[in-house]
Amino acid sequence: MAEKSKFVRLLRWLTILLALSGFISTLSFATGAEIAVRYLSPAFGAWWDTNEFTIMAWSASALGMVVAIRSGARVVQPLSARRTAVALALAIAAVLLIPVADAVAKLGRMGWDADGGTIARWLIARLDYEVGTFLDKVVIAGVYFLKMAAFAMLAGLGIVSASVVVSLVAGKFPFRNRCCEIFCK
Amino acid sequence: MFSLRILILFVHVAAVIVALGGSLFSTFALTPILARELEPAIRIKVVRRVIRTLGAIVLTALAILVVTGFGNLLYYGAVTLTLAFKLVLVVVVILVALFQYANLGMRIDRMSAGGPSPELTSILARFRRIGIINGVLVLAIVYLSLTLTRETNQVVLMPMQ
Repeated sequence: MAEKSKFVRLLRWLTILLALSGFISTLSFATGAEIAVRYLSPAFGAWWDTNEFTIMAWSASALGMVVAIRSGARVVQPLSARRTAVALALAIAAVLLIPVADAVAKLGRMGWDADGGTIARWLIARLDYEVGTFLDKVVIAGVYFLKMAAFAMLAGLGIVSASVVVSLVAGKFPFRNRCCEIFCK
Repeated sequence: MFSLRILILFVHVAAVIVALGGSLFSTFALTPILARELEPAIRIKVVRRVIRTLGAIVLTALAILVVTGFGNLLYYGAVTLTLAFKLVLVVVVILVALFQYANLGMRIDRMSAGGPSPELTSILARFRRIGIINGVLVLAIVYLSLTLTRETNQVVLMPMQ
């Protein structure tokens, strides 16, 4: 039972880590915080400036897929089959992370309020122009992150389906014993 | 005549036909005939194999639907209210299918090793009910898909920028 919670804890920490990296990279991307990083460490600041969008897209994709895998696997019974399905689905998700991130980054670019400007106008009307424009950028980046994660959830559910198929076809997942060595002990 | 867009759409539609057709055939044709024609002990063995095979086919078709759906969405270029509702229904259908085959299906698989029992009969009835519900949901998705391609005056939530 203690080992069961070890596996669950691992997944929970993975989810928290991805949410945190997504939050930091999204906030940095929206606010242009790479300038501050450049002051502290020019080399790291330059690297961060180049890669923050990629980290944001990868975090959103991985977060969406992990949440979907955790939710989808919840209905799988028995527990050993669930662990197998989750382990296999996580492996597939890791392999597919880059293509999925590319796809959801494109899908997330679909405008989120039709003709645009509504939220910006609302914010600027209530705050001043500087603050309103700044907050609008944060909101746009935040919504973009959430849209990417939502589309990645669909991909994650597809991956769980595929991993359950392996269990159904094989009867026993071929690497089940190895997985249990890692996760079930 | 031949394009990647049409190929993706073809695979998408074919996957729906396989998933929905398989489920409907199993629910309305195979299961009632098996109940009439076979002894309970043999019927359970056949049903067990059918559920395992059908589960693999339906869940594979759903995984293919997600992949080709992404492709279609990139070509479609906008998220309308209808499409958003359809995507929510897709999530529900996948979760229900996972429950049907990976939960009830696996329980049937385990319990059927011991032969027919009242509990097994009850789970089989539940399996059939869930199958019918998911079939109706998939039909609703098909209807929404048709309105996506046939209706021009849709509420666009997210145009491609």
